Amino acid sequence: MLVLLTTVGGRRFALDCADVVEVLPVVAHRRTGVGPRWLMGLINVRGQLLPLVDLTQIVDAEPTALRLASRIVVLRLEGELFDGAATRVGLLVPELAGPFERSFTGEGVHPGFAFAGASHLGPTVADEHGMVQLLRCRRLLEGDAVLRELPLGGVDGTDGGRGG
Amino acid sequence: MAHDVAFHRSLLGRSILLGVVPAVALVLAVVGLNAYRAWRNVTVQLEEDLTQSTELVAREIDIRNQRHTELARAVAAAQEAGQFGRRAETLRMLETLVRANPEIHGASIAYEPDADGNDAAGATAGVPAEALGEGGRFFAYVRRDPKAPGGLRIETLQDVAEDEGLWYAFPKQRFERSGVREPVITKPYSYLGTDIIENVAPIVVGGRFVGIAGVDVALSAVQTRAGDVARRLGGEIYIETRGWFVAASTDAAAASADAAAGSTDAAAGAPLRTSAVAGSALAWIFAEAEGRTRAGGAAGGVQKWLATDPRTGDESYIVATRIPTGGWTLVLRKSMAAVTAGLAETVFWNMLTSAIGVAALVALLAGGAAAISRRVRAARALAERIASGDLSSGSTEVRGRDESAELIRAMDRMNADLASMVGAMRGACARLATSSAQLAASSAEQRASAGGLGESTAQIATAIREISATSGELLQTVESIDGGARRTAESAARGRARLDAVATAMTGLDRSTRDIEDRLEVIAEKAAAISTVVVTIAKVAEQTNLLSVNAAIEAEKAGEAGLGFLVVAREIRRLADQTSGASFDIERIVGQMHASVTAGVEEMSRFTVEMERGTGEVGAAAAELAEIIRAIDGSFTAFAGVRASMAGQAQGVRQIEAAATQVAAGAKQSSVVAAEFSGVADELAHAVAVLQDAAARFRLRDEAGR
Repeated sequence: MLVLLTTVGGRRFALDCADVVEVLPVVAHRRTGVGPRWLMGLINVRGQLLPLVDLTQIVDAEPTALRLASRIVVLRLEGELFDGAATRVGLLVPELAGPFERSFTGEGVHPGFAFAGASHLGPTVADEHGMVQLLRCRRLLEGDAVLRELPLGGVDGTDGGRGG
Repeated sequence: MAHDVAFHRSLLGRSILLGVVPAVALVLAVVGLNAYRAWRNVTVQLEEDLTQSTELVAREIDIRNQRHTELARAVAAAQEAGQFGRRAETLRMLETLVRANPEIHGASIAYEPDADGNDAAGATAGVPAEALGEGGRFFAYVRRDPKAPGGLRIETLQDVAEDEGLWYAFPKQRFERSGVREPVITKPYSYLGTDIIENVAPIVVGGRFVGIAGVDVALSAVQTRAGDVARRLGGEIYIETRGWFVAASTDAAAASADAAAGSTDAAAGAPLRTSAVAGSALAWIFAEAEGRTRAGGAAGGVQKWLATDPRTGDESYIVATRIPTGGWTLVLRKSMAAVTAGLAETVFWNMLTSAIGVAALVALLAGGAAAISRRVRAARALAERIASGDLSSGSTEVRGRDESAELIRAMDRMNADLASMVGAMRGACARLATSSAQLAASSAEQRASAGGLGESTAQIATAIREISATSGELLQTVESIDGGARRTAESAARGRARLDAVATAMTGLDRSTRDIEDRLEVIAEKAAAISTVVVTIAKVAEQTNLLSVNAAIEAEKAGEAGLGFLVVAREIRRLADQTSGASFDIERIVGQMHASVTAGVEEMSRFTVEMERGTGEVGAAAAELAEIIRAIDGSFTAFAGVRASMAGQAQGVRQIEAAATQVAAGAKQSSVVAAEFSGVADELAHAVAVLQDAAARFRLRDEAGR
């Protein structure tokens, strides 16, 4: 599978390109001031307002200052968490590389742990640079009901201009 | 020395004459006046008291008498009204009467022999034998007796020697002679052992005297009442009736009170206290009282007078009044000695207090005057000693703060001040004598030294001429030094000109250096512009990279159809990465160039600083040379000053010569003055000797023993 690789707090994670809509440079965001600490605010992506979440704070690493290499990955999320509808969310990552081909099945793959609240952490493989863990993007925000209360914009069905 | 002053003229004598004698006279006058007023008060009050008391007692006794006579008349009236002859009933009535009237001693009734015709019947029921007299005659007496049953005893009436049958015969005679039925009061007499007064009324039935009814009163009752008053007043009271009198004086009253308090029997054996007026020691009082009460007219009028006992000559105050019922006379006597006793005591104490006061006054005055007198005498003695020139006495011990003490102290101070003044004068005289001797000696010396001074001035003139020659040589030396200094100044001026040329060259070098610096800064600005371009290139490369990533993602999503596009995207990404690397290299080279330029600028700055320091040092050297030149110029001025002062010195030497000549002339003149001065010093010594004689007249304390 084609993945984008990022390193947070010295740990390497892989994002499945199937969930990625596009990659953006860091743009200005409007802070919410309320909600979970990883919810940074709203960003304007070509006229559409999407919530911006910080991966660093989701995976419980020390928050880092914005850098030139920082990227916003626009994810398309769908599943039972969102009542079957699709939504788009901006994910702030400290750096990004790829896309690369990686396989998370078969021999040498660790399937990951099944603790409550860890469902977004997928299987782990080792490559020439070390261990890479797959992030299940659709589970990233699981367990945080607050996000569900947010008026999420960019539902897939109405996003006729995707890729345009 | 002090001569004595006569006592009547001394301070003590005068203070006693002027202070004590008037005070004593005043005190005596006050005491006398007080005594007179006390006497007046006592006599007036006593007179009033005696009069009132006498009147009161007399009225009281009169009322008693009236009451008792009324009782007697009531008994007689009962007989006349039909009780006559009913002997048993009469006895019961008498008993009732006595019981009902506590002040009555007894009651009696007596019939004429067989007046009721019952004599023959003798002792019948209710009439005991004790009630009957001779021949069965009714002759009853009921009297109190605590020992008898019922407290009363019935006895037979008896004639006693003393009364001479008065109680029966007197009313009978009065009725039969003049028809008087008024009750009578007998004189006091002793009846059956008790001193009594009897009130007797005649019983007249059918115009015929048939008997008497009597009520007895113990004499002690009257005596007790009168005695109380007599005791209170401190006098004696006498009651006179029909030529007899009874005393109610203090002692008699006390005895009578005892008798009254006890039983009647207790008084039974007491002797009769009545005395006949005639021949008694008091006969003259009653005679005077009789005369005055008669003269006074109406009964009850109170007479009072001051009487003298014709036998002893004692004065007494006497008050007399008549008691109408019974025709008694009440006489009160108070001895003047008793009146004046209290008064004398008052006067005595007054006199004693006054005497003590006067004595204290005299003692105080005498003490005060003696102290003052002593001090005044001491002051006088001191003053006389000072007048005679004796100042040797020490300070006098004085206590107190009054004027005399202050006088003594002032005299002491004066003495001490005089002594110290004379001492100081003597010291000054001694010093003056010494000084005048020294003065004479020194004037002689001065004369000698004036001669020496003339010689010295000649030597000084010679020495001054030598100084003048030496100063000319000195002037030559100074001028040679002046020439050397001029040459030095010239070479210093040449060095300074060369240094100025160096300074100009260094300024040109500095300007070139600044030019180089400006050009290096232009290079640095260009390098910064190149950096900006490189950043732009790097941004474009980054955008390209992002674009390629997104393209790759899209290609992946397109599946098989996107495979070719995926390859293109990868190529683009590779190009972008190369661009990024190239721009990084350019940025690095530009950075190195910038660093070189910066280092060049720093070097140039450091060189500029060095240059500036060199310029400064050249300037300092030039300034120092200028300082040397100025100093040499200054020395020229100084040498000119030296030359001028040398000339001035020569002038001064000439003036000194002239002055020395004048000094020599002055020395001659001062020799003459010193001779005159010596004469004056001799006169001063003579005057000092006179002053010392005058001071020697006083004798000071530390010389007192000599």
